[in-house]
Parts: sequence; C-alpha cells; structure tokens
Amino acid sequence: MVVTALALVPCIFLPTWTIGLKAPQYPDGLALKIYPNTVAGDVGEVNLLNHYIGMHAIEADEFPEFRFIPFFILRFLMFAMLTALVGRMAIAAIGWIDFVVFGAVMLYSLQHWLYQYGHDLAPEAPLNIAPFTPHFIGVTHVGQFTVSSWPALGAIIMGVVGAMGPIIVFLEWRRLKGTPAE
Amino acid sequence: MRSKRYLWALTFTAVVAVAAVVGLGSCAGPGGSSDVGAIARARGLTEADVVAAVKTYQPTGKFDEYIMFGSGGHSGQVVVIGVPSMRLLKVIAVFTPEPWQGYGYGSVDHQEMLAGAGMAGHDLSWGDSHHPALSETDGDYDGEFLFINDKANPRIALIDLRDFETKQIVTNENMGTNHGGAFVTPNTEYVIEAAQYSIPLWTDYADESRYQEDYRGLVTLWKFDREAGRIDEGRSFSIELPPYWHDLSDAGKGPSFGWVFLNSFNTEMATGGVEDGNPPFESGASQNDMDYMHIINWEKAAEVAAQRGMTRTRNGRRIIPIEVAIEQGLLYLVPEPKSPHGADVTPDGRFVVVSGKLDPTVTIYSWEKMKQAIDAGSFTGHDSYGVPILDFASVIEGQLEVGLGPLHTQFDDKGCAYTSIFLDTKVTKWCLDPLEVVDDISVHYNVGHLATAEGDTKSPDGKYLVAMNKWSLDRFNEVGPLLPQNFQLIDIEGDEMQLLYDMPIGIGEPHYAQIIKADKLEAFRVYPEVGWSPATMSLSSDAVLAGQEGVSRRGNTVTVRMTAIRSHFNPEYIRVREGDRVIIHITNIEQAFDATHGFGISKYNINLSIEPGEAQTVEFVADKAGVFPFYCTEFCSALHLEMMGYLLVEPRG
Repeated sequence: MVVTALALVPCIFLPTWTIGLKAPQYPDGLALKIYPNTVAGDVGEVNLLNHYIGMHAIEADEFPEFRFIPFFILRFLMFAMLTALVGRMAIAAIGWIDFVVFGAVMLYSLQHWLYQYGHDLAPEAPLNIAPFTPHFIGVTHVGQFTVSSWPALGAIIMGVVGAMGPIIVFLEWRRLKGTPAE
Repeated sequence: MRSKRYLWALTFTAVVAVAAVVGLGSCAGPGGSSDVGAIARARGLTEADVVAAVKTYQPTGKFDEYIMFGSGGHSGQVVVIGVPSMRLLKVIAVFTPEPWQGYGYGSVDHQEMLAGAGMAGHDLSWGDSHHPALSETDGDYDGEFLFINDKANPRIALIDLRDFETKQIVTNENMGTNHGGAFVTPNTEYVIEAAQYSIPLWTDYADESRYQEDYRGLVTLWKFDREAGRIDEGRSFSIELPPYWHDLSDAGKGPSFGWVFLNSFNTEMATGGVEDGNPPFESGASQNDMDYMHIINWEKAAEVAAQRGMTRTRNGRRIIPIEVAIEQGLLYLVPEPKSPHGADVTPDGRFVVVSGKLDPTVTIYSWEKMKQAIDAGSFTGHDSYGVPILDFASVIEGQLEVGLGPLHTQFDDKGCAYTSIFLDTKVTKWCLDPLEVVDDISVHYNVGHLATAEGDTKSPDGKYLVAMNKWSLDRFNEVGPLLPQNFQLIDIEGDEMQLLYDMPIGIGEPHYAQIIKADKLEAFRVYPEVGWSPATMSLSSDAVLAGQEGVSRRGNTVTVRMTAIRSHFNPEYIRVREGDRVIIHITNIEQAFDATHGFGISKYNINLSIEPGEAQTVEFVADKAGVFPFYCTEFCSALHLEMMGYLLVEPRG
C-alpha cells in the first residue's frame, strides 16, 4: 500500500498525456506534453500553426484544471497512505472511488477541451476548415497533420494504481473476513 | 570510276551504321529500369564509373562525412561543399555583398563591417578570396572559426562557424596585395598573412627606380582572441621583409612549433617594363636558379613586438623593422629551387616540402638541420638586406622528381604526400620513407591547389582528395567562353588513386580549400534566444519581442520596432514623410528550425535575411515619396505571399 502511495509521487511531475503531431515538413514531429499543472513541448510552434485555422492559442493559464490536479493527486496519495497506516477497508474503498471518479472527470475534461479547440475556430482565419475533435486517445488527421494522442507515463502509473484499488480492497476484505476464523 | 562509286557507297553505309548505333545509344536511356547493369550499359558507364557513383551518391536525407570550405576566388566568398557527394551546401558571403544572406543590403551591422573593410578610401565590393584556414587547437581543426584572405585588397576575414557568418574583416594598408595567408599557428595563436607584390613601405610613393630602396615585403601576424571570437588588431604586428614577392606560407608544428615558413619569388627584384624594352616580369622574375624560403620565428617575434621601441607604426599598424628582425634572430633565408609556390609542413612537423613551379622536384627540408644551422650560426652569407642565408645542401633531407610544375602538397595518415602537378596536369602520390613516387593520376585540367581530408593538420585522415583545377575544357556542357573551374574528387584510400566525381564551380576561380570531419562542426540550428544579434553573438539591445512592436517619431527620425512571424510583419504599415530617417528594428520571433524570414523593400535596395531568433536593424533615408511594398523574401509558409506591408512615404507639402 505504501508502494502504491509513493508511486503517485512522480505522477505530479511526469507528463500525463502527450499529443504528437506529424507532417511531412516536420520529420521530427511536434509534441505537446500535458503535465498535471501545465502544458509544455512545442506549444509555440503548434499555436503558430493553429493560428492559420483560427484556433485559440493554447495557454496553460486558461485551464483551471492545472491549478488543482496536483492537489488531487496528493489527496489520493494521502488516502493510500491512510489505508496503509489505519488499514480500514472503508478508507481504501472511498479512496478508490474518489480516484476513479476523478480520472473519469479528467478524461471528460480532456475530451471537452479537444472539442472546444477544434470547434471554436475564428471565422476570419486564413484557412477555413470544418470543425473537428481530435480523439483524446488514438489518431486523428487534421490537414497535413497526423495527430496522435496517448496517455503518458504519469497517466499510466495512475492507471496501474487505479487498477490496484479493487485488488487492495479485495485483499483487505479477505483479511478482515479471514481473521476471526483463525 | 566504278571503284570510286563503290568507295562512296561503302562510306555512306558506314556513316549510316555509325549514326544508327549512336542514335540507338542515345535513345536507349535508363528509362524506368531498375536493373543496375542495364542502366549502366544504356548510359555507357564502365564498372569503375558505377563504383565511383556508389562511393559518392548520397541518398536523400543522408549527410556527408566531411565538409569542405573552399575559397570562392574573385566571387570574394567561401563555398561550403559536402564530401564525398560534392553537393554545394552554402556560399558564405565574405568580401562581396550577397542578397540571399542580406549581406550588404541594408543591415546596419553588415554595412558597418563592410564600410570598415574599405581600403585606400574606397568601398570595396569584391575580393579575391584565396586560402581558407580553419581554426586549430593543438595542430588539429577544432571546427570553431574560419579565416580567409583577400589577395586583391590585403584583408583577412573571420567567419564564426556557429552560424557560418562573417564577423570581422581586418585590412592591411601596408601591403599592396597578399598571398601567404590565411594560415594559422597550431593553436590559432596567430593568423598569418604575407604580402605578395611589394609596394613602398615607409613612404607613400616611390616609382620603380627606387624599388630596392623603398619597396618592401611584409608578413603580418594577426593575434586571434578566441574568447572574443575576434582578431585583436592592437596586439597584432608585422615584420618587414626584403622586397621579394612572397608566396605561400605554413606554420611549423610539433618540433617546428613557433616558426613560419614562407616562400618567395622575384628575388631578382625585377621591375619589368616590357613597353620600354625591358624583360617583362615573367622572365625578369625567373632568372635566378634559386629563390629564398623565409624562416620566421613568430614566437620570439611576438615577444620582441611587445617590447618598447622594437616596432615602428605605419598606417596604424606596428611593424618590426627588418634590421631589428635580423638582430633579434627572427628572420633567416634558405635557398629554394626556382620560383617556388607551396611550402607545406609535414604532419609530424619535422619537414617542410617546397615545390618549385619551374622545377620538376619537391624539396624536403629538415627542420632539425635548419634549426641546428640557425643555432650554430652557420650561414653561407647574407642577402643584400643583411638577412642570414642557410646552406641549401646541408639542410635538405632530399629531393624527389614528381613531374613538371609541382605546386602544392597535402598529406595522408600513412606517411605519404600528394603534390599537384600543374603542367603535367596530374596529382603525384609519393612517400617520405623511403622517398619515392608511388602513384599518379591525371586531373582535368591544370590543377592548382589540392586538399585532402584534414590533410594539413598533425593527423590527416587519409581519405578523399580534391584537386582544384583551373581549366575544365571538355568536362562539362558548354556554357560560353567563360568556363567553370573543376573540383575533382579522388579516392585515396586504396593503393591506387581513383577519380570519383567532377564538380563545376561556376562562381569564381577557387584556390585553396580545407576539408574537415563534419562531426567537428556544431552550428546553431536556430539562434539561442529570440532577439539574438549575430554581430555580437549575444542578445541584441534592439531586440523586439512579441507585444513590443510600435512606431515612434523623434524629429525627422522614425523608429519602427517590428516582429516577423509566419505569416505577418507587425506593424504592416510604415508611415513616414519624405526625407525622414527611418530605422527599423526587426526580430524574427520564431524558434522553429528553418523558419527564416526575409525583409525586402521595393526600389530601396534593401533586403535582410532574418533567421529564427535573429534581430536586425536597417536604416535608410526615405528620400523618394511614394508607396513601396515590403515583403518576406523567403518562402516561409503557405501564406508567404500575404506576408507583406507598405512603406508609405508621404510627399513633402
């Protein structure tokens, strides 16, 4: 349980999601790296390209999520630690449900932003294209770009931690159940 | 009669047959075939041709192993060529304005540098670039800087290899022309520049009747300040030489570190004048069987030059007078066969190889023997200026017949040397130990310099030789009476040299080149920070970042702060009044690789190249009223044509 808790620590600093853009004239590709608290990578170049289709510039300040995600991760970490120290199944269960709900909301939020960016296109833009929504997971084609969006190390660790939730709850339950019998 | 008709018929048949074969040959092109043998046969390629093609062809996206920096001759520029593909990568603007790089077309930094590079009160817009010299550390190319001389107007330019741009041009009014430069000492302590045609030194004017009294040769040692990335003119100095005509030079290394070897011709001090019935220079200067190689102790000369009272200043440059040079033991002579050209120090620094244009041999001087003679003070005499002369026979290691008209020598990693042979139009390969000729190969035609990979350093690579041929005659499609020169690539890795590729140079007559391992170069991909000044290689005080754009007026001066980004300038209007002084600070605020913007103003002779991150300033007087479009001159993006604006010059009321 402690290991699970500590596994969440790097998630605060690791990129959660990556969006890669490939085009013939960008043989090395461009990448957006979404961290719990910011977006990094080739943001300037991606914004520069997006201005041709009238897309809003991506700026970290515009995402309220970046202000609280790191604290949420800390919260799960505390839940996990608490479970480890107190050993109460209820805490484990609440922590897990909280974690899963948070994950779902975040994925929805990512999808929402992708929709938002792909649809809120300035009408005076030099290049008019049909509104689009890049898949939050998978590959989308926009103009000469192939956009691929995948979870990054941070999200993968969180996924594994999330998957371990029910296992831990189950083990906890068996331990509680089994103790009197012994 | 009958037999005659028969003969005609036979001739006719033969002609038709030949025509058919030739016709068939030319029809049967390689087409879409992918059978190597069939293509080679159709194109008439031999097996050796195919091997040469395979050794030089670079598929798209593959980089060359070596980079060659070649002089651009009287284009005044430097050519950058990939080896072995012989693809032209860049022509670096050096002594001549060049619009693609916006060099001399409005950029204040370039204008100031080029204005400072004028001589004798003239603006100079050409140079005769001859000998590029890569900066060295411990006798090896370090890939940081490149120097090149201008023979026509004695100047030396410095190119920073972080951005392949010319940063400095130093002038030398005390010389008439130069030739023995640019060559560097083993740690680029100094850049050597020797004059060629002597002119009066201590007086402004003297006609040829006072040649021996007033005309002088000169060698300048330009102090290089690596930290500053500049030649330090104040710490540079010259040494007065006899009025012979000085030719090529080379710096000693290893045991000969601290010395410079400099050839000379016209030790006859002929003054020509064919129109008055005198022998022309070409024969007057070729009478002596021996001329003199000059042996100069630069390390000691630097100490002497730093002492009070040891130099005289002329045209703002410090000169060690010839009598001081002799007295301090800075200058010696040794006879060398008639009208020599190249002086090349072997990689181990133990020998100097001299080739005489009018003598079929290379002469190999032993540094050890020369040093002994100098230390022992054993001289055969002095020239008419009092310079001590060493005994030829006792300081040479040997002589070797290599062909008619030997000029220059480069080396490989196996103790062998390659000498260009002008009259026999070939390259001769010979080895030092034992001293013998081992191979030769014809080149096309009239080879001047040659370069092997890192072939003048202490550790040549023994790969690739480029023969720089003056004539190309029948090598290329004809393009009128002015023909390109021919760079011929030769494989020297095997026992026998193999000709691989002909590269026409259609911009000027190139002279020397140096070939460096490509991985030693570490050029910027984009300038390190937005607002970078290439002139100072630091952040510019005139950088304009996004959001800092604007126009301000002060009296008759209008200052525009502009940014360039795909695909617009900001501002897009420059509104001034006729006669206003216009200053435009413009920054390319991009950091994307290859996202260069240009800035050209119609009819004002202005064009800038602004690479990603670069800040430039252009200044001009809006002396003509009217409407002048300005636009991005580099095809930067899909909306490149829309990247424009207007300069509105309102007429005076």
